[in-house]
Amino acid sequence: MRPQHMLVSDKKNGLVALTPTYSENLGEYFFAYFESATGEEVIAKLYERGVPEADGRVYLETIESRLHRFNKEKGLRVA
Amino acid sequence: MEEKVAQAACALKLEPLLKRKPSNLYDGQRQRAADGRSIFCNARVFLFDESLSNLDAALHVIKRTEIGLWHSRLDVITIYVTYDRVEAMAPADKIVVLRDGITEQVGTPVDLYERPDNTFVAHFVDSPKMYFFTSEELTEKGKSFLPDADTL
Repeated sequence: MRPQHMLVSDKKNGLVALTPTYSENLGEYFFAYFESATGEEVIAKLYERGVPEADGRVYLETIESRLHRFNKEKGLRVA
Repeated sequence: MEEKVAQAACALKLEPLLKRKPSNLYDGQRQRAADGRSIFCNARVFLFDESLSNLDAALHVIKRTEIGLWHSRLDVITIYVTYDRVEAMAPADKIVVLRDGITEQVGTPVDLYERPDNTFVAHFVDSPKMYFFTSEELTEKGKSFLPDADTL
């Protein structure tokens, strides 16, 4: 997923769950900073501020055509 | 001969500098003069092998634009070798991504961005970077998107 294609979702529909650390309101959009479960920093360009769910995480999704799937072992595109 | 010199000078915007000797030219101008010699020879294919690596950042951008314009103006095959992804994406109409001499993907810049064939190419076109999520970060819905492959 690319930062500009991420969308705020909810626990039921989200593809990824990330812990929010900081967000900047730039008027038209937010630069939202997250920490992933593996400790990597993820920066998303979001059009709404993500409100954390009860577990403290924000759930994000993307439109299907913007989601890239790769095989973990070989790194090749899946479908 | 004068006509061919004028054509090359015009393509490279070197007309005002034609009377100068190469030693009296700045780096970027000197490089353009070298390019002009290639045009003069009526080459059908041009190979730029990291030809911008010695230029400063400002000249880099100018020269990259010039190569793109020159390529379209002269309608010749131009092969441009670079490790710089921006340099590759900006002027190209087709890109061949190589790793260790093996072709990873061939396509337009948009192809590479919209549909990278593998994670190497996805990393190559990384402005803005693509995030790869592990199974720990994916929700059940996220996992269900990867029925035939391990999750990343």
